[in-house]
Amino acid sequence: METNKKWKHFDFGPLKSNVSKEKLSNVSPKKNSPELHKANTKVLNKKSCSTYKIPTFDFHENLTPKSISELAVHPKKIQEVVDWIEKYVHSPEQNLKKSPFLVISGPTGSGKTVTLNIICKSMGISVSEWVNPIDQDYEIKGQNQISQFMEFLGDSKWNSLFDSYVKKITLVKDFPNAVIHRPEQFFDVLEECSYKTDSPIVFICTDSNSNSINLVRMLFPDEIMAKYSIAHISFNACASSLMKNAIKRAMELIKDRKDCFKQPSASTIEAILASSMGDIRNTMNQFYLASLKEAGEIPTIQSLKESKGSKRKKVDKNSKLKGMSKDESLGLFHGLGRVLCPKREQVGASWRLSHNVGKLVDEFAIQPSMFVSFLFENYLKYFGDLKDACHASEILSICTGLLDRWTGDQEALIPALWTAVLGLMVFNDHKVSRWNQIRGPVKFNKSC
Amino acid sequence: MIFFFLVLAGLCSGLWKKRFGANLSTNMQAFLKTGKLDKTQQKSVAGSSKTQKKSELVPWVEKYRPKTVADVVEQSEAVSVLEQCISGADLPNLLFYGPPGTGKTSTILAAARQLFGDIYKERILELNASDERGIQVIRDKVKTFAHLTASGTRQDGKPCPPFKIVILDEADSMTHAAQSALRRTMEKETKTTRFCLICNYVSRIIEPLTSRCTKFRFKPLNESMILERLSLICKEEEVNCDDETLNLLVETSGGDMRRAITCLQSCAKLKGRCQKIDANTVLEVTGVVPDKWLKEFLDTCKSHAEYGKLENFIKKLMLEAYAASQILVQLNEMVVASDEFNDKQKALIGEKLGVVSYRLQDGGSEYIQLLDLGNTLCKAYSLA
Amino acid sequence: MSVLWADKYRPKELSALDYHKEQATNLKDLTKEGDFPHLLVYGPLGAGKKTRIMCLLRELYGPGVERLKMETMSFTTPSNKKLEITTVSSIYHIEVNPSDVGIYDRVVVMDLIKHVAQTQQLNVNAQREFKVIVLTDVDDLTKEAQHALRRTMEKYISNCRIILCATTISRVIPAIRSRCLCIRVPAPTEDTIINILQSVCKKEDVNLPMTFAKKIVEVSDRNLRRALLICEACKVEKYPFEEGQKVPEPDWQIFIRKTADKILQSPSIESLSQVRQNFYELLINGIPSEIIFKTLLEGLLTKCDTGMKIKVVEEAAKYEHRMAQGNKAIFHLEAFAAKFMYLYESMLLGGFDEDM
Repeated sequence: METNKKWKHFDFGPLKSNVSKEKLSNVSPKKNSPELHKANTKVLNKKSCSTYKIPTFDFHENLTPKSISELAVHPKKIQEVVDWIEKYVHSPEQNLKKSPFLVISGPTGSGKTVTLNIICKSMGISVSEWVNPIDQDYEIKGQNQISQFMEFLGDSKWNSLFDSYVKKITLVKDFPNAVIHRPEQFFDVLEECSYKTDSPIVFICTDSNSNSINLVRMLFPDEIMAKYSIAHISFNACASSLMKNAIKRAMELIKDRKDCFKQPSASTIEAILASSMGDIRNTMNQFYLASLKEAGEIPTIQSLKESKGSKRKKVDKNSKLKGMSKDESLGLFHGLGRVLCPKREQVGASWRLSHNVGKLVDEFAIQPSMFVSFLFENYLKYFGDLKDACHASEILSICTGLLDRWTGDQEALIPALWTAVLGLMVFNDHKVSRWNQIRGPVKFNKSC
Repeated sequence: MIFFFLVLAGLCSGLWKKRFGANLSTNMQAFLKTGKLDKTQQKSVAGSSKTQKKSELVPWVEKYRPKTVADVVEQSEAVSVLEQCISGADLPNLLFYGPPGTGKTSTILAAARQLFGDIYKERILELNASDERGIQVIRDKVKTFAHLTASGTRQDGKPCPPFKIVILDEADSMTHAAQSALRRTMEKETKTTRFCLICNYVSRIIEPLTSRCTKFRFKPLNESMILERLSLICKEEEVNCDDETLNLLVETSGGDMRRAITCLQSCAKLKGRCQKIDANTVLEVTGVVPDKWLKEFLDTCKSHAEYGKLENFIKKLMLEAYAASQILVQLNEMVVASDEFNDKQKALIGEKLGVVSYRLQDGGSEYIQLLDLGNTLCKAYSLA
Repeated sequence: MSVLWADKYRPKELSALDYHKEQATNLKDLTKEGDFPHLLVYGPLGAGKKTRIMCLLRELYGPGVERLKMETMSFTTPSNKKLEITTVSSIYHIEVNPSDVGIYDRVVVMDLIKHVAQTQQLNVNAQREFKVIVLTDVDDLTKEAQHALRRTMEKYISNCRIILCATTISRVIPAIRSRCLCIRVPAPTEDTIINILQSVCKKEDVNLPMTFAKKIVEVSDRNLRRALLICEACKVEKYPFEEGQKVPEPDWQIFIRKTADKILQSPSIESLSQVRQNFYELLINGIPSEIIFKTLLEGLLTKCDTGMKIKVVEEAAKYEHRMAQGNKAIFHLEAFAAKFMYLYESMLLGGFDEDM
């Protein structure tokens, strides 16, 4: 079996791992975690593109925090993780039958993995991480992958011979696909592990807005959490003050490497910070790009401005790509606000709407019926006159009529949305502007 | 999401009926209980004799379809063309249109029978609206059928035309995409296949198709023709029915032969073999609303003196379970024929009739729609 | 109280029916003939459609049809969605409400009939060569399902018969109507209901005063089943009946009337949002939107003058139609409420705008 598989880390694997087919990589913190790998390759690509001499300075190597104090994570959260590790790994008297589980969740780039790695390193614990066996052709599917996963978790109680650490934890970040498709299998795995393994297992899940890939909710529903008494630490998005500190640290680092880096201007940094949306990894990448000295060019004011402009554009684009889900929900509320509280411009004796209605409509074209439901739920509070409200309700009634009638082709959806959006904006003659809580549409639970 | 709601709505209406109408589960229990008690009784009854004639299963409409093109009543235009074809000329692609029950399907079937004799079943492909008729079916089924070569002789050696006929019944209910797909097929297979499209409304057939066909309009049948046919059937089937009742049947059918024959058969069935069919049965079976209800409706609208009288009347009318759509049809006739209204009033009422009828078809509530109509009638009366 | 009166005294044979006797004899004659057409039985709620169908089946097959069992059948849509539907069946017939599965009713109709028609009658000695499929709430079927039905009806006529049951045939496509023998079941008259109530009470040894019976009939809307249920409920509540005893009305009816009053009392945006909450409440409790709409309209019309009434009914007809098409009833209910408020307010202030 082994002969036809190519394992990157095979040579350093212990004899024991001959039995298991999965990649058992003992990662020392900060060096090999996949995100850094990714970042590294990115850097290399970038460098090879430019004609500039490859800098001998590994930016990311240096930027990655090395001690707990350098982490851009709220100290309270760090303490929580430390406490958990203390409790389950460092106290031998608590030799529980069940191996303890921990779930760390948080948005992308909130420093979950780095935190865990650094803490473990500082406490002298080794981390073995599960990596999906992707280089094993496509034969492996479903059960096979699961059994490997199980084996990995079960086998992890044997320490590798070359490991100097005595304590160890198992890290699962890369959930096997099969598990995501069928969470019940994952529950079986958990059941199995709860008595098979004795090293603690840490699961790291990235939060996401869409339900289908929200691992925390899918793989760790409440009853499972309770059953295996799984601890849960949820990280928040990186606070801007912490982010600023991190950038400051990064500036310090590149100061003495004038040969390959320039200091980005304050406004560039501001732009980066503004678009970061609490994603420290993304921020660092942006910062890195901004500080690269492009082929020895000395930026003039003109080009600086330009680069700033282009940067901002790039930043925007980037943040949109990374944080699509965030954008959407924010957009929904913005959109609702615009439709419900339309601003008008006086044009001569008449007036027109100051917002670009077409853009609004385009934004919600993906799920018009949900948007209309939201509008319906909330419009009454913004209307000050019965006649207006009467018009508005009429408009919404027409609109849902159109939306309901769609038969496969989406053509009717857009005119329907236009009707609703424009109608509500135009008829709101006596608008009431006060703060109102936006309410979600009522869902019928007609189980009675 | 929408599907979800629909399912919920369906469930709800079901639940509603459970709560209020016929309570299904309690029903069940009751029947289960009584059913068990009757165990012994049941066996004795089940063993009784079988008295069924297979022949009766054929609806009279099928049984009395014209056998030859010449048998087709009226429709001289189409008949003469088809007769020419049968006697040797080539058959063009055909498009028959006209109100239901005027003999469109019968004509083409009769023609096919004459053309191909006994093997006519192999030479025609009949597709109607209730068959799957998406683009894919048009492409596959019609194409495979068209690809089969047809020889110029019958099995018994007699000559017959070397083509096949595809009959697309109710072609106006085909989607435009499917119709477009047909266009190409029609052109390509013209050597071996003739198409006959049958529809009620020629306006719903796309232009490129109509231009490829010879169009024939089928007129509503003359009442005397239907009467003749009905009395023939009566004689054949030994149905006891006088001329007056037959006349009534013809009247209610509105020039639709099929409807008239179906009604006659229903009446005969309902009444049993030996009994006489009277006018009441005809009205009952055809679902025609007795004139007295309509008169009362109009009178109520006319007086509109007493508050709430109209509402009560409509409620009462609805409880009689007459179909609102039928009421509209008859009311329309009455209003159009009446001298009581001037043109302006008629226009007003007619418009509302149209709107209400559309909404009813779409599933609007009968009560509210009729109330709306009633109010319009009130308004019309007050205009005078 | 194991069996409701309405079920306990349900006639089991065509000859035992209390009203529409001529129709009953006709139906009986129908079963005597070897052949039997497809039937479409229609009439308002509680008029006895179901009773007649069961009687007819009994006439056809004997008491065996009353041995019912409940089953769940599953179907697969072309899009591979699994559907489940509850059926009630005896060895001779099967009863199903295809509109339970919403827009997938077409699949159910086609598959069910095909399934039943292809399995031959188990009992070789059975009286008839065909099985009967009873489809309820045909008027709620989608147009596609109705079209499918019409074809299937013709195809399998040799070994199955279909009895359709509908409250109104306006929504049944003409093609189906023309293929069935339509049986109209009008609601019983008030006198008939009183008589039936009296006779049932006599059998139950309950004394029912005439005045009270009249009261019940008034509330029941000529719905016999409802009348019997109310009568039984009253008896449980208080017996012997008193002169001034109140006939209980369903909660939702009172609730809708209250909603109508709210609309009439204060036409304003605030009350509109309260009205919306009421609508939600009703919908969540499973009251069908048509009933809400109708009852609301009745409540509102009591306070309108003739001119206003015409306008209101016109609007009502418009919104009700929209509501019947879509599936978000709340939008249309609220739009109607808003429209009414506006019209009513302007009527109180004198005269409306013609452009509304």
